[in-house]
Amino acid sequence: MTLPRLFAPRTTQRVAMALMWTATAATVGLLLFIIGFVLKRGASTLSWQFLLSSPRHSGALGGILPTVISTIYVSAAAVLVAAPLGIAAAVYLAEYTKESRLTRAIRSGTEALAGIPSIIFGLFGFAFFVTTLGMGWSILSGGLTLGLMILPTVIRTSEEALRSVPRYYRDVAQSLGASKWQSIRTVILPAAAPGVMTGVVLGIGRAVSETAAVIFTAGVALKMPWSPFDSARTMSVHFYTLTMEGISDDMAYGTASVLVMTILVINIAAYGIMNRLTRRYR
Amino acid sequence: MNRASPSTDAVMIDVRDVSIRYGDKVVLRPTTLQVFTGTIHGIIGPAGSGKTSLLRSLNKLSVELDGALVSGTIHVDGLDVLSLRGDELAALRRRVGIVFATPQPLPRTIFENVAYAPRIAGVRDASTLAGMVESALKASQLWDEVADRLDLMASQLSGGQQQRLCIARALALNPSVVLLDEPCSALDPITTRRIEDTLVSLTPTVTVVLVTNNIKQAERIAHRTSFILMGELIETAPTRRLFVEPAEARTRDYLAGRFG
Repeated sequence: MTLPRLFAPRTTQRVAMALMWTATAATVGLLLFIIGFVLKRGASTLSWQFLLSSPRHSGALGGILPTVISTIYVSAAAVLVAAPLGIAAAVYLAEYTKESRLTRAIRSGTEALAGIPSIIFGLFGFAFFVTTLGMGWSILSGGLTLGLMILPTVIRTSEEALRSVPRYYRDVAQSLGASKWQSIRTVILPAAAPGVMTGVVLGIGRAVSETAAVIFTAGVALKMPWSPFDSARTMSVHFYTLTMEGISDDMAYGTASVLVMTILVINIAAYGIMNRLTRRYR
Repeated sequence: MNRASPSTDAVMIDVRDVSIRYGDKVVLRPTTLQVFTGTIHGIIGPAGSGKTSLLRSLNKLSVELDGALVSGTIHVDGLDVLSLRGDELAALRRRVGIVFATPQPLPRTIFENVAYAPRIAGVRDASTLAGMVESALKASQLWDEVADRLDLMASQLSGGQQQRLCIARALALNPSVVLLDEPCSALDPITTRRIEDTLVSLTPTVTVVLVTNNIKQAERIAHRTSFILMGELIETAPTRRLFVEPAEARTRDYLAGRFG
């Protein structure tokens, strides 16, 4: 039985294609517009001088070097916390447990964690790391808090990546005398690496751009951090402060431009490294 | 082709009262079966009759990866398979290779696919590895086609080449047994013929267990053949006798194509 048709299949096909192209173009266009808008406003400020010198007069003059360094430190600390924990948890969920009440509980717990507003993480980090554990406003407190915040992203994407590895890789590896862990380490994790990396990169992106959780935990000190226990102001926090306290719009957009470009560079670099690492497995 | 059984009647695989189930679903009722050393043993039967479950139990993959519950005893080369764990099980799997229904190369080069088992077993020396890879590829009759491009990704080979690569991979550590689960089901007749030649050339050094949906394949190359129907081993006999004068009516009906 065929249903009556309003239009020729070819016409329907063309219309559908046009709609999908429009949607894609709109998405990419919006992204480019936002990036362009920020870069245009920041263009007058951007220079190597701006990037590589210290701020003066609360950031109204000078550069943003300490905030760049702080951002790198805090984000790196977050990834150092979240990547090993998250990947290990994902391996456990995907490879070592059967689907059960426990795994469902863990999974919905993880999802709930992902849905918690970042400012709540900030408050938790402030109460626990900064106050209770006495770490103070520091790179360490900020990194740990951000690490917990991006953990769900890393777990979920890594688990999905592990689950999408063809089932037969496990058959093959174990039938050739590999233990379960050897098969995970030598075959399954390398095959899942691109997906796992995507999760880590998404996490880094969130960590780099996070404001609320960092203000409460890493603080706002506008100076070069020298140890993990120093307070630090990340680029996002610097941008927020410059804007909210009306210190300098030009400087704020300059900072935002550097932030946007940093995230782009991290993404490109991460995928480049991943390609290099996994080339021999494809 | 000479299909006379080798003179020795040594038993390589001894399956006693083995039944297999997944949860409540019984896929194989108590089965007893011997595979003689250095022979090709065919296992035929319709899809879903428990052939693959039996084969995957011979190296305990069914238990470890499919969650099968296997009772009875299985001895392979004198080892009590079902009681093995950890390193002992890994050692067994180095002596019992398996090849799956569709070619399943790992996402690596040709060389690294064959070198996988030796590497896992702790072989580090490059020239030893190269030697093992070469002799395995020669045994699976793939060497001449790939000798000058071992660094090619395995996925770029044709289906038949991939399947012979998988056979080479299973042979890398000179196993005493190779298990094959419908190894030609995804291949054309000419490629199938090459694989059959390869299997014949492995005996009598290697004992081969060949699960197949292709009755003719068992008839062509197996020394002895077992017929399994809906989880029940109907009979095991020298291949010619099974095909010419089966003891059971159900075997005759199946071979005549009346079902399955």
